[in-house]
Amino acid sequence: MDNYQIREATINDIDFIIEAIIEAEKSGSEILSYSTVFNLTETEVRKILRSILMEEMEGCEFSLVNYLIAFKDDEPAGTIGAWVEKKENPSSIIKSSLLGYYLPRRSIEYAAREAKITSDLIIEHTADALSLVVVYIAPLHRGKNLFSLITNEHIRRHPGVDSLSIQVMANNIKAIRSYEKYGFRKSLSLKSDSELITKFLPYNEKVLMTKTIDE
Amino acid sequence: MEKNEILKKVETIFRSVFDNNSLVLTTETSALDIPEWNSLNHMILISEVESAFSIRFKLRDLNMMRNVGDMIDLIASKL
Repeated sequence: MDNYQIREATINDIDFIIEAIIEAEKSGSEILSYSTVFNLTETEVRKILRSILMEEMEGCEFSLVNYLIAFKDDEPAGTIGAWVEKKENPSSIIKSSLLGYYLPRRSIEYAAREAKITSDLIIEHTADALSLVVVYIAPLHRGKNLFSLITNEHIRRHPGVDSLSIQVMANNIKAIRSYEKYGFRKSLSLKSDSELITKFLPYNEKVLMTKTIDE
Repeated sequence: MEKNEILKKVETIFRSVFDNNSLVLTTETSALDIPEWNSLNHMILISEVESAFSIRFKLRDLNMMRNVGDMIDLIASKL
């Protein structure tokens, strides 16, 4: 059995978390939505993500404190972000406040003009559920059950929460199988028929998967 | 500018962003009341409001904004 330790992410882990956000967002493709939607280079996206993560604001996928990292021999091996979604303070608004604050105005104007179609695939996070985001396992550590290990630790740290939710692009078959193995089931799917959507996003269909947390 | 004038101006911006000319705002209106008020539209909305009133919200302002009433109070405090 491999020996992994899990701890909360800190400011020293920002580079790894940025890598995780970018790889998760690409979903196995070369399309980085933060670049395509906001007309930014990947270097510019990385710089903006760093500023946002430094804010340490809680409750969305740009919240450093919401990430757990699995380590082996002091090297980060995988990470998952998670928080309990609050109906009165949706993570989508927290996230967009952070993004909107740090994005150049020209990027928001570009998104408003060119990329509103991406709204077709926006699924709001499920209220009161533990929302898992940015599942990233470094290549050398795949197949070591780190998804379960980190998810179980998130659950342990959120007593009283009775359900999990996770969103994934429908083309990410490996991830979907891994989530199904853990007990997730598909509960919603949004698909866009527009040919333009894959100019901005890795795929034209997104799936919401949920799971009841066992007693 | 009086708060009811700010509300009317904000309402015009909301109608444009959400492409809905019959949208009526109250101080209690929040993202829960408008299905199209998603992450992308929120960013566009904030940017349009800042531009229309020639103001710039601080990050902590944005973090505390829960509904249209909060937005109007913030705008009024910056004019």
